Amino acid sequence: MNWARVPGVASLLWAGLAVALLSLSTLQVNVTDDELREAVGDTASFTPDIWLPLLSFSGSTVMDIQSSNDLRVLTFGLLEANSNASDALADPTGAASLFWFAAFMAVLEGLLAFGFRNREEKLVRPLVRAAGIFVVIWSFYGHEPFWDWMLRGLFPTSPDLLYNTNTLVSLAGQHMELVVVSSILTITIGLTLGISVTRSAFREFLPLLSDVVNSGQTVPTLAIIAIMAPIIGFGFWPAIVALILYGLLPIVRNTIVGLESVDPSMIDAAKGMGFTPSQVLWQIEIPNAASIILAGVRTSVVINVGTAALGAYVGSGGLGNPIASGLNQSINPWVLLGALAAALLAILLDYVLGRVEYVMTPRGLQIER
Amino acid sequence: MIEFQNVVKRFPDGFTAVKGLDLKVRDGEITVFIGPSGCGKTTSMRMVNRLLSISEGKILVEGRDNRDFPAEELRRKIGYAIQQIGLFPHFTVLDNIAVVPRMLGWDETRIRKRVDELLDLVGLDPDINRDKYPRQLSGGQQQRVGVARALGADPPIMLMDEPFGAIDPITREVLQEEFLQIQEEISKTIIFVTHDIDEAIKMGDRIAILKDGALVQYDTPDTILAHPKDRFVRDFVGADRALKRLGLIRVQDLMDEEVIPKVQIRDDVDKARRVIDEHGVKSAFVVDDENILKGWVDVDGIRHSPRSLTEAMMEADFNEIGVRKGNTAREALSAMVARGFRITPVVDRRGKLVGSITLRALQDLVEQDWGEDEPQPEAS
Amino acid sequence: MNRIAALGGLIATLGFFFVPVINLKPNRLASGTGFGLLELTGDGRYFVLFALALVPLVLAFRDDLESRGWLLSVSGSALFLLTLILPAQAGVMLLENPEPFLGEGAFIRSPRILPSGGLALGLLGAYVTLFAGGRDLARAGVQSWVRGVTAWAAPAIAALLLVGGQFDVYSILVEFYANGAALQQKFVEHLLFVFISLAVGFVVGVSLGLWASRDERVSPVILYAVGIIQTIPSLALFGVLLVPLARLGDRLFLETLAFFGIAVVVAVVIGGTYYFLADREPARLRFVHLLATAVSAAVPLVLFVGIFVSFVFRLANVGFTSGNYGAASNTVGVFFVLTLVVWLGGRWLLKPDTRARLISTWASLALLAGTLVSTVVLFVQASGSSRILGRVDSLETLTIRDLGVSGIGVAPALIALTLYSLLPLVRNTYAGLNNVDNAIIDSGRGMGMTPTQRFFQIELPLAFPVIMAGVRNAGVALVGIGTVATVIGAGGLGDFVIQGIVNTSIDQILLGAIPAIALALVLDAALRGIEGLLTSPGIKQVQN
Repeated sequence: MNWARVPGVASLLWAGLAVALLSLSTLQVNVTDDELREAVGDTASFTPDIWLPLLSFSGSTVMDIQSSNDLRVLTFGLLEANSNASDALADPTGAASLFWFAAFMAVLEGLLAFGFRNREEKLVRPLVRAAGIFVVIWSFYGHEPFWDWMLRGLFPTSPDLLYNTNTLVSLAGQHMELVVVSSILTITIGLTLGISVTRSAFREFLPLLSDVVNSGQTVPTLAIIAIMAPIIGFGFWPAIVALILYGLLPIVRNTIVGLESVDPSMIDAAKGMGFTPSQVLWQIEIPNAASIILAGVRTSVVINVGTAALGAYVGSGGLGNPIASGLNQSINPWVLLGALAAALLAILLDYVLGRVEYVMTPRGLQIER
Repeated sequence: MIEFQNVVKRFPDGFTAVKGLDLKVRDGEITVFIGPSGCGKTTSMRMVNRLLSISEGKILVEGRDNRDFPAEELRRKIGYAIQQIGLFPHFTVLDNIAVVPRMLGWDETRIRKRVDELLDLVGLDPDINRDKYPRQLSGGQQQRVGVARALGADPPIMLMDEPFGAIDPITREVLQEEFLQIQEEISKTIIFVTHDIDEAIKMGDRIAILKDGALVQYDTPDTILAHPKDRFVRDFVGADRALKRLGLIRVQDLMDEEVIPKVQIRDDVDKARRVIDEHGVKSAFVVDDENILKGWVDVDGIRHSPRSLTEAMMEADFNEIGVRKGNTAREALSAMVARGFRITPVVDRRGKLVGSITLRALQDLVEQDWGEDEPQPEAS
Repeated sequence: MNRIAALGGLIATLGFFFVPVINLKPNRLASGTGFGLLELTGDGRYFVLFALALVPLVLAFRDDLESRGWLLSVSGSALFLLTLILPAQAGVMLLENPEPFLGEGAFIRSPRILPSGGLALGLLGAYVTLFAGGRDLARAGVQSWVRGVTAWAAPAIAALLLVGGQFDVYSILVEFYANGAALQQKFVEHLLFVFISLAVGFVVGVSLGLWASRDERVSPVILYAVGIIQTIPSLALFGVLLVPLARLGDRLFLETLAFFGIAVVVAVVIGGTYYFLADREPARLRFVHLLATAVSAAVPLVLFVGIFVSFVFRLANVGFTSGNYGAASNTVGVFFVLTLVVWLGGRWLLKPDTRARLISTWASLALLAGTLVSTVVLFVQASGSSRILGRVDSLETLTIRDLGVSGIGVAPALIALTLYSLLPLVRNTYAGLNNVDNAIIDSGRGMGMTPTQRFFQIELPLAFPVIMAGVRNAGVALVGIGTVATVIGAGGLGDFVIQGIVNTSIDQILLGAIPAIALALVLDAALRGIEGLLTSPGIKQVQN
């Protein structure tokens, strides 16, 4: 039996997380550091205020707190002043408590589990769950103390721990920006190309395109990014162009394969019933090819996460930055910080897209799991 | 040679597929296992060469418990042909047929000779087909190779699981005929699984009808058709079992060699009229000097052109209107129904008229069955 | 109408019209002045090239398939060659007197000619035109080898011209002549990366795929795990491996050896109890026990393979690139090539089950033995090199780092590349073995084949093309990912690419990228060739 499918379990898990976070917030610690005491008072509480960097992309809130080094060292959660706290430390604008989020998710999952068990619920739940997990993990990117704590444990003697020029969450934000912008463009171009060469009007270009796509695979990603830099210049755009070029391959290939693998008799039957070509495309071919096309999109996006990391070498920012600088200056904590963050982001996006893929594949075609 | 002794097969999930099967397969005969899906026919067959283990009871092969042999050795002694054919696509036809002989350590020249022999036997030209790959063959040819492979090391026993099931009806018919001829030559002990009652009647020397893992009736096809044991068997063989039974009887057993309404082509019309009257039929067959069937003449024809027999007769090819001795009574009936004859000529290969068969004779045969054991036929 | 040809012509024409063909750089680093095809001064030959680009556009409207195909092939070939030759000639003239074309005060020191986008578009247009011509010829029923010769004629001539020094004016070749020796070394390094990690990945991946195909319960776990590895960005995987390997590198060899011994003992104990107790354990416990066996065996295995492979890589790298062991490394190379030639040639040319075939098999085995022996000799020689063990005083001070394992360098690169090769290998092995028709296996069983016979005679040959497709995918991917290994100081062709970025020098980037692309293509073709030779003709028809 798969416990994850029992109604209400997910809701209970979220509720448990909320309770755990709530009880954490009642813990009090004595502040011993003089400087810190001035800022926060004699005692401070662990509030599991894991900031939601989604809501404050620039990360300014987090930056302020990070500037106080000792504060980060002291706690796992952020410290919240008991009394007469300085406003600079805990500015709640644009941030929400994970406790509230967990509570919200618990209620939502409960509603989904018990409120309605029909078709829509099955479609919505994977998305809600994916979004919830994405938000929780994403919020970890903003949780500087956590990374600091972890790196300190691994590198007790290292003078440098966190990356010094940018917060992790803003790097992750840059990374996401690269991936999202390039993916939108890639998907648009790739689907257009793939669909058009499988139409009878452009079918003669199909072998040419698949030839180009297949041989494009042999070009190293690093080389594509590298070549773009001298041509376009350093920064955001060479990385985007490289990401598009490389990300196109799986999408175009899978679109072609997916559309070609649709049973011709099905298309024949549709034509026989009087479907117009565009109806055949949208109502027969694309839904039946959806799982293959979406798998291509997922591969493409995941590849883009990896390629975007290389963007650090052409100055496009992103999570490759701490890795590159860390390797250059032999600062291992930076390397590990960037590497873990980038790996986590890739796995996370892969998971989220997997759920999207699951939801968007027509139900008649889903293999029962 | 093969004997099932109270054989039980229980699967790990608790399902009992075969419940105490007791059955003796006779040497040199084709024994057909038949029944609806899930009746345990394939399961029973697969226990013979131990592709499935036996839960209870035992199966004797050549008088010995088949568990006394190592499984692989046992299987090499038993030919095996299945519906999906299962030819190895990466082996040539020769390699496929040579699989078992090679495992038995035959030398290459003997294997080659054997392969050519077998290809000849199944009607494939060895020189053309020996080095082909299975995918270069048609479905029917593949199945022939499948049969040849099963015969590879000349095993005394063969297991065949719906071997002609995946082939189009016309080719299937041909292959069945051919296989029966081969079997006449080689006389193997064969267990033949099928779900097609027509195939069972055609192929089987004996038919075992299974239901829910138990044997319902085990008899010759004729007996099963004439005397179905219970309602299940009756339903299973179908409402047209009388007709099917005609399929078991050859024309030669029913035909009349003496009384034939025939006229020479050079005879006159009066002779024809007389023959028709004599025999009490509506038409007479017309033959030439060598007694070869040329057509027929009927009362209507004589009335329209009373002068010349050649004008009055209907010319026809002997293949079209005649049946052969080897044809089944069912085919003769079908020929009669198609042409509206009450009597149909029996010819030999060259068209020589050798006898006749009447609708009456067929009717008698059928009625005799109904009369015997079924006073109130449900079919009526 | 042949619209592909029209597209080819269009690409070339637009490229020549709007985009600079060559770029005159005053020195190695400064940016230069671009020249469009029509801006090149001199006689009218550049205009001829421009006109040639328009030819496919016109030819596209011809109707006769065969003549159109031939004309397109010829014009595509001409376009291909002239696009390379004419700008080179223009470049030579520009370099004779570069001052007028460069801005005031440009620092002119060994000026160079950079091939630019127009040239690339011209070549692309020529490729598309050749492709269109090839298709026409195919549809007109021209034999495939004739088409092959037609398509490859222009590239072959271009290669000859390249060797003959016709294109030496292009800056990438200038760069090549300046860095030839380094390129050779990096290329060998890269080749070693790919081969060694592909070989290790092959063993691990095929074993895992085999396990997955045999056990329904572990297959999702294995497939999921290798899938996750694939999603991790290469740069991140290098980074994640850095810390543990750095720590491992600090260890003393003897200390590690002791740990290794303990790990082996633990694994043997756990595995041994499984072997003896498995029948008596309940199914669930048995599964846990099996898992524990696998994990405990993996620890010493991974440790051993990691260190061993890194060490072998260092030996090979020093042996093949340092030049001190020329005789030994050449012997290895000759033996290796001979082995391949005799073995593959025998399989290809000689009929099976003949005396000649048998001789060729034995000869290739003997040559293989020669390869192995000479490799061992080479490695023994190389291990004494100062770059490897030469500087180590005693066994007590020998660290794992001396054996080649450290946080940066080759070890993490090899491990990461091996991990990346797993997904295609595992997935394809699993799919290949799982997709073997059950009826075929059943009839093998029914005819009395033992499990071993079934595996080697039926399942493996039938799954072979699929497994080889996995090897090809993995190989091509590894060549690409291998370029990233430069960032952790592992060398390889990526070195040039990163240097090129630092210097904003396209020449250097291409110096790394082009051999990598060529390597990927050659590797793909070679593996395809081997696959073709070893696949039964009976199942080839379904491929492609």
